[in-house]
Amino acid sequence: MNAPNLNTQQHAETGKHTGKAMRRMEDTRFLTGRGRYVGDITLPRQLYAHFVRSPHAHARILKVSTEAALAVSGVKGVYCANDLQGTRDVPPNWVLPGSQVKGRPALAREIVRHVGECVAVVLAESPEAAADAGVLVDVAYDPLPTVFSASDALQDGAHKVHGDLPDNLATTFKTGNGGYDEALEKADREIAFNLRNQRLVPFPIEGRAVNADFDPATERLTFYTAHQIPHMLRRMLAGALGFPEHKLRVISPDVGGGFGPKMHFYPEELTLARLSCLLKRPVKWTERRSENVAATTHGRDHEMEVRVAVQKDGKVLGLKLDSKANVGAYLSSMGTGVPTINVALFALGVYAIPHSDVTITCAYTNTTPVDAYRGAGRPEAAYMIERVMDRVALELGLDPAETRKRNFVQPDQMPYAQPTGTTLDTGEYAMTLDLALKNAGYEGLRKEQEEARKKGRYLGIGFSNYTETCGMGNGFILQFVGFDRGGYESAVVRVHPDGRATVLSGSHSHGQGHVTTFAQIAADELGIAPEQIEVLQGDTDMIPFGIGTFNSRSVPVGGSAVKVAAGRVAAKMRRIAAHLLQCEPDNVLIEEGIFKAADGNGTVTIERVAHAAWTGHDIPYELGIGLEETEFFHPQSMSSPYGAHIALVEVDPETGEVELKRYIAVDDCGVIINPLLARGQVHGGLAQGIGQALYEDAGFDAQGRPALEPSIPRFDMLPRFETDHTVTPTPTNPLGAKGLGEAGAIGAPPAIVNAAIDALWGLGVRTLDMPLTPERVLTSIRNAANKETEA
Amino acid sequence: MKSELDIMLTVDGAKERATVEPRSLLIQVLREKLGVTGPHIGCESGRCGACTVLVNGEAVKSCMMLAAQADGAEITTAAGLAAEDGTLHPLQQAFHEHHALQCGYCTPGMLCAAMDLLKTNPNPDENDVRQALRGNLCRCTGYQHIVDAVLSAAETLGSGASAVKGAAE
Repeated sequence: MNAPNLNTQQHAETGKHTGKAMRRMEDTRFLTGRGRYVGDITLPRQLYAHFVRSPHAHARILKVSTEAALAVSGVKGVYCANDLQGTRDVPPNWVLPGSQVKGRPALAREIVRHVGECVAVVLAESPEAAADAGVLVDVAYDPLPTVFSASDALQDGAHKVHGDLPDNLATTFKTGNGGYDEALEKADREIAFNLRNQRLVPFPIEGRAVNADFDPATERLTFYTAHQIPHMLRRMLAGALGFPEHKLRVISPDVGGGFGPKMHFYPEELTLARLSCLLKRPVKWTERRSENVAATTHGRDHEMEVRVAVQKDGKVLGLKLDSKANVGAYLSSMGTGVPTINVALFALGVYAIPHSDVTITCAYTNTTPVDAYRGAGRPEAAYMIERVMDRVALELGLDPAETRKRNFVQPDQMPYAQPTGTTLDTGEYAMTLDLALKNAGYEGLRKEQEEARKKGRYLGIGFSNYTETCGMGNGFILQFVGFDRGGYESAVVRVHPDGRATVLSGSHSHGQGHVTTFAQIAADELGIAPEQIEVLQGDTDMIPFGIGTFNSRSVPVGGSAVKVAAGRVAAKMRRIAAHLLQCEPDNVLIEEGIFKAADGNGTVTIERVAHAAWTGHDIPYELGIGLEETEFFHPQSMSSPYGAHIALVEVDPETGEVELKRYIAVDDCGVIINPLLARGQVHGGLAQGIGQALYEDAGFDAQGRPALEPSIPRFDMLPRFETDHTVTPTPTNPLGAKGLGEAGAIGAPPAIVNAAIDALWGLGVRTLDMPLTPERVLTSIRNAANKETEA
Repeated sequence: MKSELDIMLTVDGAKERATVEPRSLLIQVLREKLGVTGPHIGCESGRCGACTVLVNGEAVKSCMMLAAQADGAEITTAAGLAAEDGTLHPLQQAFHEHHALQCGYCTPGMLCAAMDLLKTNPNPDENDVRQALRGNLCRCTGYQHIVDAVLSAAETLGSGASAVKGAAE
């Protein structure tokens, strides 16, 4: 992996194992078909669930007739909202202060408010019987008026999604230091345009899956679920059920992709937990794709109006953003937090813009709830500010790379408090951009573009210098913004008497490879090989309270917890070894499981040290028993990974097709623990970002039904990616690592759309909306031509 | 009254019998009746390919085939690709070397689809791989590492060498 060290700041060190492209230790079970996902778990006396869902976006439920369904052989029962007495609604846990809150009902009461909302559930002895009976549940509806977009929902007199609220406004959030009008007075001109960040379906290949198993003997509920945050789910589920939290065990085994939606708490989970407790039998449900597109949370969905006041040299003096965000019919877990805080705070990106006015208005609509999806707000912010930068350059006839450099926050300004409320911890934006320009062969590309234009071909080059502040912490800040979660991560590191180690982590992998990266981190501290270390996650009975995997936080926060805990175990091992070697602990070296005195007098194995620790034989009493440490790593602040991405596209003005010819990404996530896995994260993020730019859309029809088959990129729809890194370590954690999981999804959309606009600028095209479908591109070209004719 | 059928399958070398409904899909019988959980379900339309298995050596989306149609067939899943002593098949090894899997959910199907490709076209180029595997979705990897793994496995299998070339930038 090519990771040039161009950094001028001090480096956190990588070690013997960290920094290496170690192959994943968890691979074999997946390669041999032995992964164990929730759907693979079937329990004795298993019942199977089938949900009956609303085909209407808004309707009154008149009657639910269950006779025919109950007559199906093997059906245990059909259950509606009335059967779930004592169950609260699924509450959001990120609620911006001042929000109007409507959580998701476990099963709909009287009114359904989006297509796919659960109305009833059939339980049966087989999945076939449950499904057969499900289609026989006859629900009579009286359709009600609907509203689908945020801007429509916020109009005076719009149909109300919730009759008991005064209007559809979920919340309004304002930030920035103000003074846009003042900036405009000083500016040479104002540039204003609208942007649409379309709604996306996250689409992990494994849908959600649940197996709820109440044991009447122990009065414990074991709850298997495909989830990113087992402990948060346990707390929320216990609260909504009224079930003692200490007797509720959440197990999230292998998870087939998450991307955000699997970190939330859902109505199906609450319903099945309640029914397992009532029936005292395990109840299993695996989500169908048609359910997934309608009932699992969506992402994005902002309608933005942006204005910038600029000098003719490209310097942006002020930015005014007004965005309308669609939160769907109810607030999902991160309800009004993601569309406000996660967008508004990052609206200025990596730029020093003196004045800003940011307003975000969130609206209820008759659509699937919207929540975090890879990037979760930051893609919306990056898309806006990066579209602004290229637009400014094109309008003023400047180079977009140079325009960015004139606006970058400079390294000597770090840490830099953006007036919108976030702090950029580190970053050498020009350095990273220069490497991207070099890797792209930028000057050559511009010549190629010019030559091609002479031959009637339309090449375009687009930029994106995103940032994705991540590694969520700390608790005080989260409380301030209404986010009911902690901002730490847990780790237990235990060295066994045989010298091997167990790491328990509150993070939870759904493909990221923690089993390997966390073992690499622990191995460097403990002085043993990663293969001697087992990393365990995803079981609340076994793992200390954790905050889980989202917000690109697993390595910076979870990995740091592992490093700190392992470091304490190693320090204790050194003291024991020093005692056994009759030397000072500071003089003990450890390598490959052997402790040596620095002066070369004698060695002692880790097994001997561990035996002494766990028996209490031959160690000073005051050292205490055991080799086990628990760390709740609680960062003071978050880190700000960033990158410079360049896209090269060719647009065919006859067909409207946009071909992505090259994609050059230089990412800076601080210190990299495993460059091979880091590249995998970048690739995966890029695929989703490119998907948003070119192909994907939730695709609601006029009745509010999302498309059954959103256009998820296939093998033949993506190019090879050209990736590279710069390394500016963060001081916010002991690894110097910043997180990387969401980078590609944040960086790619603006780079590609900017490239397409650059290609068509000469034809009069000034803006394009995602996804860049041929139809949409052709329409823009025609509209531009018509305008020219009129002029 | 439902009529039921008795079928026989060989799954990864083991002979299995199952009583199935005429409407039962092969994937349902593999997963629910035989406990073969390597192939997964990811869609309802045959679009995602997570359920791909080899039926008599040919890649088949097992959610698109009735179990009754597979009566008497030899089924190979990802679990059946490795040698009996557990040594990974060169294709599996190449997936490991090139980090061609993340969450692993699409992987068993992806391996079976790639096995079919390598049988019909032992020397594919990148475009061949991207075209041949376009019926298998992966949401984690962005595909590039899978392409690299398949090309590398083709090279290994073609040269008869036992080692698979390492992941190169």
